[in-house]
Amino acid sequence: MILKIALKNSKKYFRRNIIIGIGILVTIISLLFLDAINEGFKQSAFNTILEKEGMILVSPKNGIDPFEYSIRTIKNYKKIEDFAQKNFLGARITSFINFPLICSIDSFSLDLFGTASNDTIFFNNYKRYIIKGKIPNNFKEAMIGDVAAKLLHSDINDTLILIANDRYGGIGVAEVIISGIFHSQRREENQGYIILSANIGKALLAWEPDEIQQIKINLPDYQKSDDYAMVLQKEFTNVLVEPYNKRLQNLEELMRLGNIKIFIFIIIIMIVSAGVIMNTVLTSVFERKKEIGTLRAIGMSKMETFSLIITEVLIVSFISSIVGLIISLLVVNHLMASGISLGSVSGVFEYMDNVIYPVINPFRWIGDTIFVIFFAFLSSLYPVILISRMKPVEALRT
Amino acid sequence: MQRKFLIELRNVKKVYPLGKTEVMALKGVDFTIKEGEFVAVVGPSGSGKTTLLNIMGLLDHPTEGNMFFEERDVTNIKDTLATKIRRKRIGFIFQTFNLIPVLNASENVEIPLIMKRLSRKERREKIERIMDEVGLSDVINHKPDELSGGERQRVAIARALVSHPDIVFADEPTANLDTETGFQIIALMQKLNKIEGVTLVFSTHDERIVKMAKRKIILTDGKITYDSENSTEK
Repeated sequence: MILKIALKNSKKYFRRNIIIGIGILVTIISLLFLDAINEGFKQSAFNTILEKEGMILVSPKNGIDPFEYSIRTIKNYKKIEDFAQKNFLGARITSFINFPLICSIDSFSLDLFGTASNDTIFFNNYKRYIIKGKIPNNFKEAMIGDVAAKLLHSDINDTLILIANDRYGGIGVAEVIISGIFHSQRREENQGYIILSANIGKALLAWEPDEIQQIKINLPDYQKSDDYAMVLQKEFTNVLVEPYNKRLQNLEELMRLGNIKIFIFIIIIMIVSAGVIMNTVLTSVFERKKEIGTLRAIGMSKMETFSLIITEVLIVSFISSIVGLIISLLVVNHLMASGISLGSVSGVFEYMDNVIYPVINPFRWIGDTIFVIFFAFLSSLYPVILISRMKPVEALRT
Repeated sequence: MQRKFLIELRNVKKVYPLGKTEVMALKGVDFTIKEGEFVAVVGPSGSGKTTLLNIMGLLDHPTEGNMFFEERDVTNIKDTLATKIRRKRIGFIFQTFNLIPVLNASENVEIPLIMKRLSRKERREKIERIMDEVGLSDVINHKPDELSGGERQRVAIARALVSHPDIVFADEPTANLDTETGFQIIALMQKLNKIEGVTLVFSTHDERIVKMAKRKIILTDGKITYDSENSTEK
């Protein structure tokens, strides 16, 4: 009977229930959308780490520092590479250097970020992004981002002059020919990266041939990265060895900080929605005071009265949540194909691609839906308790 | 055969707070209601009729005095127990009918039966019988807003009587009806009192309707000033 009355009342007070429904709808869509973006970002970051950063990253003992890049190096890096090659079956090893430099051609010059390596894997990663020319073939060639190339008014086969501060405080100068122009998903790469041979990098920084800045080791079985990182760290105590999941944890911490603003936004939405739901239920139950008083008079208990009103709220919450779920599913499904451009925000996070593809985590979405229904239940609790506790004689008095 | 007491009131008083002052709605009411009686509580507006019916119907508590339901003291009975007694043994008919607007006539009548946890078959039989008795067999699927005032009050009577309560309280059941329909409603209650043997207590200020009751109690300013059972002016 309770369900029957609740269902019929939900239909009768349709307009009022629409208001409750909108409150729930806004909450669930915000929550699911945030969840999908969050999951998408996490996966994107995870893939980036696996793809670009490697599963184990070896850095100088004190890590990388933007002001001491030219003096913090890994010495005898070949030993580490050899050890990894020998002991970690199927490992793909890439060593590289990142450093700031000035790039000039004719009367144009630009501050860029040099990324240098001698490993073909490293260059091959950029093969798919090449929009003109080809990846460097020898140490005299380099490839540059399309935005940077445009700013320098340069094209393939042009010669660039590179200038960098060397480790002694002097100036290192080198010449390279642009072999290719690329356009990757990361805005900062397109605008500020030049990719060149490690030999040039080392010459500019006045490094010895056996020095390098970082080594990344990709393993066929990522689950072994923890153990292998430990082995490597034990063997080479003068370097810093980080497995991928450590870096992912750092990233998650970073994401948590970044998400605070969005969570505040969600909390504000939830507070407003809770207010709307509570107020609408309050108005609704007090308008139907006499009806509730009658039911109480003819023998309906407080608990049954409570169940009746709360069932009505739960019906509306359930329907709204399902509608919210479907809307979110359609929108996120579309965004999963097209992606969300993050614009300038992407530069905030080291690992973030320019385009994020939201990901639906079914368990979290189901959890969110249940949470929103529970949230609606909590929001309507006060007016429902108030009316169900009211004496029948008071409820009947109009 | 001596009929047993159903309700007994002993010096019942009821005080309502009104802002910083108090209003005494009942000023010491004593009387008893026996099984099968058909009682009219008469009095002008504000005389305490509704308060008296609410207390007798276990919807409210007296401020002072005692009330007994079948010799059991129910003066300060707990809400859960009062609900149980109301559900099983008391029926209510209201001035404004108080039907559940989203339910049709038969569903409204069905509510007390569902509360008593009767089977679907039993419910159907009882509904058919009572709807026939109140003369509403043709409109069982009509919603309250599709019924006339008289029909709505008949549905309310059916709802009050369908579960065979011991006593039914009707607070001004004819106040929202025209004279003719009002007479019909009281006549129907009279008939059901005879056929079903249910005790009926109704309040009214219409003297013409009072004549149809077996017993008349006059309430003036919260005091009983006349009770036809004793046939004395107080």
